[in-house]
Amino acid sequence: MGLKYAYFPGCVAKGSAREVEDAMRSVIDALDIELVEMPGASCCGAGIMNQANHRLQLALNARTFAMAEQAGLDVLTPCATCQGNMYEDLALLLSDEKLRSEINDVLFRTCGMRFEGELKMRHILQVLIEDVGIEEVSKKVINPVDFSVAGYYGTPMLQQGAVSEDDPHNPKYFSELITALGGTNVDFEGATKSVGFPSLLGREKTAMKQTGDVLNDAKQEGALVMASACPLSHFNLDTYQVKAGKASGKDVRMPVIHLPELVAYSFGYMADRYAYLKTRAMVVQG
Amino acid sequence: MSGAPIGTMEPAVAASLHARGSTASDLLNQGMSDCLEYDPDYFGPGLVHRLWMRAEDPRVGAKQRKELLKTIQGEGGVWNETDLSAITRHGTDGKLVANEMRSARSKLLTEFKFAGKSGSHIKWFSRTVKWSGTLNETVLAAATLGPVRMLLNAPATIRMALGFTRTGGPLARDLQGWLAPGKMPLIVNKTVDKQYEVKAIYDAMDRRF
Repeated sequence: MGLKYAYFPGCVAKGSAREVEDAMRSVIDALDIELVEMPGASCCGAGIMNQANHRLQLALNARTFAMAEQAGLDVLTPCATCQGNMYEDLALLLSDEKLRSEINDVLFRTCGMRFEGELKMRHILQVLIEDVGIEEVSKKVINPVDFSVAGYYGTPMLQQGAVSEDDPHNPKYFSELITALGGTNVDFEGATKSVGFPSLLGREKTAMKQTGDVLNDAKQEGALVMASACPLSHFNLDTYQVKAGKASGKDVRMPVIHLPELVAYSFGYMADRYAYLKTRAMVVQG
Repeated sequence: MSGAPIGTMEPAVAASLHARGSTASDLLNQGMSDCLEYDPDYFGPGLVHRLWMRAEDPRVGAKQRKELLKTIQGEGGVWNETDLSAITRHGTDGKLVANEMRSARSKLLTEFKFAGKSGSHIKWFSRTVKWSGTLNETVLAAATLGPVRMLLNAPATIRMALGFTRTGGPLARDLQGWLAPGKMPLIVNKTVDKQYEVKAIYDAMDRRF
């Protein structure tokens, strides 16, 4: 199809959630997408660093943008937090000429680079729906997702414009994708709610209650599996699931996978892991 | 001390202050948080925003400003908000409130020297990125939680370290790294290319880290 992007996996996909990276490689292979690595790209700040110093975060992201610009490409990421955070910074730099000039001065002095703003931020969900197209995605399905799936977005991505025209309060892209993969989409209120990831280490109790409600909500609506577009939120939803259950006092047991995994499984990759997942879903469901 | 503003201010400052505090309704702003209903101590974004605007008002005396900042820093204040992005998505007003809450946090981090778990989290997050260019989750968790809470958090930590997720992936998949080098996740971050550029940006913009 000739689609080509500068690839920004995000820190977690390169760290504790390597399954995101595995799945992304499968998805782009199946869809014949070309990814250009940016081995020098730094962390996006994840909405954490900008609390200490937003200009510092802007300069780091401007450096990443400049790298993508040099390749003449838009940036693709599988992480909703990276997408939201970098989209916000890109929009700010484009709208404020004085600020852009200040950041460019630092960038030129420290790295010999300049940022012009000739790129877009793209999340994999956007790319699948808008760039590849839902019909093309459907054609690639070998193992249809024959169960009910709740799609969780991750709030950083849910701001006006960050996922193009999709409504931040009533988004449709994830449900369209799940249906295209052969699954039964589960609409649930928690799909667009925060699980409090940025404060997981600082305000764990509150974050766990939020997480518990999101999981329980999906379960109440009949979901067997949850897929997350945000590898950071996945921490709360999966790694901290037992704690979330205790904090909320609700039934939260549910396998939670990453969005790229769901797509890769349905495209016929990692069949063994897909089988484990289905077994796990049935066992948890009882 | 009634805390009532006294004195005058420059028209440009007044205009800026007005713009920064100009939203349709504080009550609506309260509803923008996703965590307010789970935290009975939290004042809420509408009230925190209003307190912050008062603290930024140049007509407020130094002593009163200090008290206001202490209130915003303390239990129920700005750090009780678990996710600013949940506020940002509520249109222009949401963006304004979230930006002001972020500004309040920046000021408080300086004023109170990265105090508390949230301050520590931000400081170590920024430090690990400076060191390697990417976030080191292991160092971040250990430094923020401290040894006692790390131990108490053992189930989640082990689950993360061993890659034991519920995705259906092989259990303890990362232990494979001991047998098959290359499959182990990087506990010590590999630095990004030209990491010295990242460090140079930090040095140029913020030497606290």
